[in-house]
Amino acid sequence: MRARFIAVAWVCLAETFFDGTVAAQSQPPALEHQVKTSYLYNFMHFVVWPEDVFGEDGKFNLCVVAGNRYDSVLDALIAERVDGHEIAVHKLDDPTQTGGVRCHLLFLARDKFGLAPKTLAAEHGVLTIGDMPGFLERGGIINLVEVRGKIRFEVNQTAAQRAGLTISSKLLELSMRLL
Amino acid sequence: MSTVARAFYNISLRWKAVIVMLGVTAISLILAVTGMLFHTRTAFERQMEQKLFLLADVIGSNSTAALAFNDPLAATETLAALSSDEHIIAGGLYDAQGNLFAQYRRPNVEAELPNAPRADQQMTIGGGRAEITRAIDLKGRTVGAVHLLADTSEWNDILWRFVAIAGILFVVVLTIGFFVSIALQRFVTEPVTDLVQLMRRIALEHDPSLRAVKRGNDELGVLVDGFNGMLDEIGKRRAELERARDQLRHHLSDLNSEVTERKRAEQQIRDLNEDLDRRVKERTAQLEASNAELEAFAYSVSHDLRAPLRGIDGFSGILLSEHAASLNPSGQALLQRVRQAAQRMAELIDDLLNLSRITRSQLTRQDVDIGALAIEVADELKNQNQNRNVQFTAAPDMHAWGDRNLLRVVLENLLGNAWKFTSKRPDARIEFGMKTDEPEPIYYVRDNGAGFDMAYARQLFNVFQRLHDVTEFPGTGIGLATVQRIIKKHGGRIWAQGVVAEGATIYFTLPRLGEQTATADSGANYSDRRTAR
Repeated sequence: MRARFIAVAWVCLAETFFDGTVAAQSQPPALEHQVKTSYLYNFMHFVVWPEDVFGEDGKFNLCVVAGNRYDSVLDALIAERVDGHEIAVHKLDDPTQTGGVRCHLLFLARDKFGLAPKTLAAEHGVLTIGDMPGFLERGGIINLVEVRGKIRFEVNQTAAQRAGLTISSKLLELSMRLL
Repeated sequence: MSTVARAFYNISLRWKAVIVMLGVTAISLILAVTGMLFHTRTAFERQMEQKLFLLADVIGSNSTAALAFNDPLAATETLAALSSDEHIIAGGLYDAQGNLFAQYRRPNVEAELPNAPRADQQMTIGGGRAEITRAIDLKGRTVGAVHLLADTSEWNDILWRFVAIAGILFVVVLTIGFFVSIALQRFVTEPVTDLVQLMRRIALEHDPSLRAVKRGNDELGVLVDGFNGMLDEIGKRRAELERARDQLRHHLSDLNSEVTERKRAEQQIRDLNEDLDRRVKERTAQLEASNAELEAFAYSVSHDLRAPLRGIDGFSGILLSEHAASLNPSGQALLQRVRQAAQRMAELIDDLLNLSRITRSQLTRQDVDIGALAIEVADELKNQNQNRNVQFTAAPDMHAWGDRNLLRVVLENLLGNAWKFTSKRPDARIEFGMKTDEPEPIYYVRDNGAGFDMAYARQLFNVFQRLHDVTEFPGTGIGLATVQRIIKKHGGRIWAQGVVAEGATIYFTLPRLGEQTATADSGANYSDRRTAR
């Protein structure tokens, strides 16, 4: 299940960069959303969460504030596992209204960014990811950037430390910019 | 191969030992070097594999993020670290679909990176290249693969170094082995060469006291013991042989003297014999001469005596017939007795002449049907004595080898005697037969007449010997002597058996047919010898 998803993700990635015509044939969800979703999944493997942030059910709560455009690609992540934790996808309308869910990864999509507070408080054990310029300066930890048609990222190390998260050096090496 | 083996047989023992030791050393060295080489190669391959896997794992591990976030530049940088190993020719990083994601190539080296290589647990090696493909895992899922290509030129260096070391080792070990085996071989070969030299000396000098020196209790020691034991034995045998030879020489000289003595004795005997022979011949000649003289005298006496006897008889007859009237009966009776005496004397003289004639006559032998001859004689006797009733039997088909006339004389005498001595018996029986179950045939004449006393058996055949009075049975007493003479002349024997008043049997033999030539040639001599016995 997971392998198939990854395979699909990589195929899509390849199509994005090497064969743009395929994108037209495959109807929405848009390729950009697929790539970004797979990046979200990949980040989970290069970040270490403190053990105390997981509840009794041991679920990894992926909270997405992105409207309905990511719905279909996010469904593929349901029941995937990260370090033995089963992924649970929570689609939120308001990043502050989690409805009692303890988020481990909070993705704030560009068009929902306005819902976020002016300054994102570094919450313990929450990896915040966005795809909008200035996300790091607002207190976000990872920001996805599009460079010459490729999705790259930048990391706010200080914020990560504050949140009690350890980011792999491999990830830092690939990072466009470090704060 | 066989020529090599033959050549090896001709090499001296010491070089054989050296060659064997060096050969064994060389073979073990070759085996050891081969084993080492194999081990080195295996170790080299394992080391190469470990190195390549390690490198691939490091690169793979460092490239997970680059693969995850699609950053070929970062991956290429990671791959560039391969340049620090001069044997790595090329390296390739592939994504999960097998597409080449990033690569490294050593400058100025031709190398092909494969498309979508399959991850494998083993290195492929060959053609001077070694290749591995390693999967890249990220938290349990495969995100790509690393392919590494290395040259194995390092192996050639190792190999040449190995060969060089092996060559030096070979030279050094064989040189040392050569000197050590030269030093050691004498323990084996020296006793043997000593033995060989000793054997040569023994063959040349014939010194029985030479002995081999024993050095140890190994097989060569046993050989030396055996050799010395053999020499002891040979020495003992030689001494015995010499003693025996001395004895033999001694015996031989004894024998020689004995032989010469015996020869001398034989010569003496021969001389004596010759002397004796000569004397016998002389005596015989003398005897023969006197015998002949005597016989001639007897013959002439007998012959000459007949004339006066005839005169006496004749004139007595005339006196009786013409002057009977002038004589009285007693005178006539006396005259009659004179006549009878004269006639009897004439008979005697005739018989003596016969005997003498027989002695001088020559034998003419032939096959004689002696049975028929006997019947002939018996018939004549029957005719002369027709008043007698005599039952005569003769076995049929009896043959003898002898003088027919003389045998007739024999039968006339013997049958005549039998006729004469059975004259007092009314049932006279006379039998002539032959015994063939004896070594030689024995002829016999048997009668049931007056017989004789066996005490006088030997005197029967003497001249003028009579066992009966002439008035009882007439006869001159010369008959059996004549018979004996004839039988002895034939080389036969004659003897008699008898019981008084019951009968007598005269036996005689005649040499068989097979003995004829011997007797015919040396006739007289042979019979003489037989008689002498």
